[in-house]
Amino acid sequence: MFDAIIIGGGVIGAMCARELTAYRLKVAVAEAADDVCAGASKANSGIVHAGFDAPCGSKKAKFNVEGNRRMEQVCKELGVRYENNGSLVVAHGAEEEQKLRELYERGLENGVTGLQILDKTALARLEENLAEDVTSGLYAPTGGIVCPFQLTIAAIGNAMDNGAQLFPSFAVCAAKRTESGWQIAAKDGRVLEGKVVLNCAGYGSAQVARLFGDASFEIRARKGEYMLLDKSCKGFVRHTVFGLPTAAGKGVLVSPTADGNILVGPTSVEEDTYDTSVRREGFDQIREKADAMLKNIPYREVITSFAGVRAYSSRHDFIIGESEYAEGLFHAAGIESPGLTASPAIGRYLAEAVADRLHAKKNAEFHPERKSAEWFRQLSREAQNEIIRKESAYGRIVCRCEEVTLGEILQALRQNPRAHTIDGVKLRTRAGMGRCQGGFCQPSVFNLLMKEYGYRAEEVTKNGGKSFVITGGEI
Amino acid sequence: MEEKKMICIECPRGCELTVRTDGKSVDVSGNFCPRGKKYAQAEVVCPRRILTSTVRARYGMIPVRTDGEIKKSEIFRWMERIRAMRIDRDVKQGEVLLTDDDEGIRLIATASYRNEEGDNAAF
Amino acid sequence: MERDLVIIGGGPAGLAAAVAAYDAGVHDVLVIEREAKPGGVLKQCIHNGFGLTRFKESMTGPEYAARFVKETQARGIEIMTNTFVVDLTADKTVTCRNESGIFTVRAKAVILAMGCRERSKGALNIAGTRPAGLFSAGTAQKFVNVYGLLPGKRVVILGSGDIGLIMARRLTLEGAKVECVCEIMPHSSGLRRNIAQCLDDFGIPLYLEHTVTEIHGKERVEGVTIMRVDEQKQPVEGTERYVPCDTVLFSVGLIPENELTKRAGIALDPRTKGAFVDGSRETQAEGIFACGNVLHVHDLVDFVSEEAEIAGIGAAEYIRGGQRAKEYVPAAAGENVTYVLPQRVDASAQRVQKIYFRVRSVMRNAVIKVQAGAYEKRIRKPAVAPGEMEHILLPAGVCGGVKEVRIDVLAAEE
Repeated sequence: MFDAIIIGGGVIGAMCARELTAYRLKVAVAEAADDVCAGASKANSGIVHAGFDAPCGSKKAKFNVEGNRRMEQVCKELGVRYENNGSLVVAHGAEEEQKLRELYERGLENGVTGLQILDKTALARLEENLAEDVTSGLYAPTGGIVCPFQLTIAAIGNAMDNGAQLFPSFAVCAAKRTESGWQIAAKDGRVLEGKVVLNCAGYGSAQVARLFGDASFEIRARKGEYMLLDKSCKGFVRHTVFGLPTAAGKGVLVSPTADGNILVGPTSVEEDTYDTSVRREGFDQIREKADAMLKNIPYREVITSFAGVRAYSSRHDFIIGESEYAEGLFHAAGIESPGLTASPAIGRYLAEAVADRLHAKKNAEFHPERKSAEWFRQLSREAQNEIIRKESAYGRIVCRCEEVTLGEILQALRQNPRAHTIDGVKLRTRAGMGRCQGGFCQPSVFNLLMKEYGYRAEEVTKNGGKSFVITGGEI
Repeated sequence: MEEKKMICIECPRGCELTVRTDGKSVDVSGNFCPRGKKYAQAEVVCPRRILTSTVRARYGMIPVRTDGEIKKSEIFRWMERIRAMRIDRDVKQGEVLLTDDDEGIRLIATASYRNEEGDNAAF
Repeated sequence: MERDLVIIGGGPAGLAAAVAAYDAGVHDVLVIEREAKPGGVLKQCIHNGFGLTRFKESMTGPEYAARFVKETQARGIEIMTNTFVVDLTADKTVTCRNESGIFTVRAKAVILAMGCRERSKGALNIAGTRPAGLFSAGTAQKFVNVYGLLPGKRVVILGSGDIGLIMARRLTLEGAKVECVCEIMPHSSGLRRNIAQCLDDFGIPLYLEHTVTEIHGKERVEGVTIMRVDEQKQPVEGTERYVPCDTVLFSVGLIPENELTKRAGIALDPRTKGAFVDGSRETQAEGIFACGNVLHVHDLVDFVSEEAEIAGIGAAEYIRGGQRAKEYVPAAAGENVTYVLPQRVDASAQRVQKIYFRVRSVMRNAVIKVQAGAYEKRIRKPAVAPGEMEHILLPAGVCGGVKEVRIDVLAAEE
């Protein structure tokens, strides 16, 4: 019997889990996929939004601004790469400048600090590659970038270190009320019981709500395609550069990532299903929009392209709080952008609500810190040498492009939540995320997975399920 | 008279050969060197190839090749035999691992192998 | 640590450079290799055909590598394995990481021999899903030849580079069905002999001017859409064809691995993607030389060895403070020539200088025209192709006072 069961191991579920373990509560996380961070959290922009875009008075605005304020501290505790690089919305000509001023006003009302409208000369001092016809820009110094995978994985890992239990491959297919709360069942027959349930199921959250008898909202999919440029392009832009937002979202952006690449995208495509395939025309759409903001984008340096799905609600705002139809079911649904930014605030808000309901006390043993895979590379050379002397695996490079050591990969295989797939190692350590896209290190990581888990070659997967790496068997 | 075009595989030059046959004689043109002529003549009568593959050993794979050309039609029969082999000892480069009874062609190791797990660590 | 010569990379280039430098009188040589054993990619290139030009015999990759390893052993040259170079500066300080820690080596001269990597599928902007079963050809080669594992049973190969062709044969021999090889260009970038012995021998179709436009499959690849392309390499609507497969191999080009070169601030030639060098393969940073696939992608390892020896001798001469070129003449890529290497030659050379180059497109009955001031030579070639590296020999004494050496590849006048 758990006090709280969280459905969904994305960044929202992760933050809820972590905040809940700060109370004396028994927490479970049920994730449908074989690994955490499998949905929108692994394919998004990684932007910590300032908060000027969301409609005044909306939940989006509230949690965005609050999440933004908390993000740096959370990243520090979890050892996740974060950078306060600032963001710019650029405008072309008088008509767009009018909209820029509206955005500025909205930002002030939302409580965003430090906003400034800059003219062309001032913009040129911030970014040298802006398109010639950019006339003005809104500068938000509180904008930032964060590694979304690290954030999600570290938050769940930290929750687990503080006692939360993770149930991967737990696809919830039924829920029934019990005397003290809810019982949920997975497709494979496993059941979990909890006093309260948190619905953080992303694209699946409307479906989950229905299992509990709440059919009050719909979730729709809006796909976004991206191109990622090599680290050699570092410095091409320093701020996150946006065009003016439209009804379909914040539009295409060009931004450095917390890991030192340049990200261009996303597009915006309404889909009937959860579909992460990239369209041929998607590339042209990205380029057209990005070229309007910046000149000479080095597209030749693309190292990969991918798509993510925004799960947005029919109410066009976050749905956060207890269900009106199912007592003890707390939603965090319809969390599209700025969901990543808002996640620390959403996690805290829901944890407080749940603690309040269950009359839970603070957990005095809660330890907010976690040593993420990042810790080693942030050390000085002398400190790294100290470690290598004790553990020689930190002296062996496995991924050449991202310079990931064997020590870091072993950590990812053994630390909460343990990686057990090729992509699991990639998201935790960056091995295979660089310019050769795993060409050199994939066989090594494959081999390490076999050794660590005793897998046969045919059992190793790219990202769980039937995504087997080798399907031809031994030669 | 039958005319056939083929690429010589004897060296990276890759000459485009024209081969004319009338059942008895074989006429080759387009070859840069005598090896091309020899190759084309053999190709018409009985094409032969060097076969390279790997043999499974306890802790890894040992690369191998035939020390002479085998009949092209025999390639898959050779592959079956190679696939059935298991090595559980040290092997020196050049060592004979298999001898073919019909033509005396041998399968030789093209790299040395030490039958120790540590020596075959994959990274 | 201080050493006379540090060679970064223990593949065919690094090993040959080490031997040549040693024989030219520099005995304090350290070869730094990131893998557990020297030999580079040759270790997994188990097929034959190496060494025909240089040794007049057909060797497999491991045999070719072993020959050079033996030569280094005979000279007592140190090869430090499992050691990764993390930084290089223009003043020839090499920072390394291995199981003993992070340390620096100061060298009198450095030879860059890091080789190349495969262009990844990610760089191609292919539409569709991102399932398991997508491999660079070289990665698949490692799985098969080193691990003894067959990536899949039904395979489509994109790109007709040599590794892709070699893998088409290898996978077929091991029981996979290779459905086709697609090449976006009107000609293959691989050697003609490899098309004959790897594809034709096994009835594997090569579709020129075709590309993979979409990948299908959620968890594992289930198929690809292939399309014909027009002259601008754009897919032609209406030519879509679905090919079921569980594996896609990408053999779409090699890229010199010059990250360290860039860190040292050494200028790169956008055409070769390697450093600008002179006849001795010295880069624009004094005392730092480069050779092999890190300098420009070679078609044959035989030429890698040859070039590495030039660099090894050049580095040895530099260390010994011998006579060095004072004046250079730029070498220019003329008509139908993609690049020339070296990019500048010694103006006063008292020896023959060899210039490598690649042609831009396939041409039958070509004439290679070499011009250096008053010197002009025309060489007839029955056929030239971008996949094959060409060279010319520049006689001693023709470069004095000329503005440039220029190579053109022209159509022969009948």
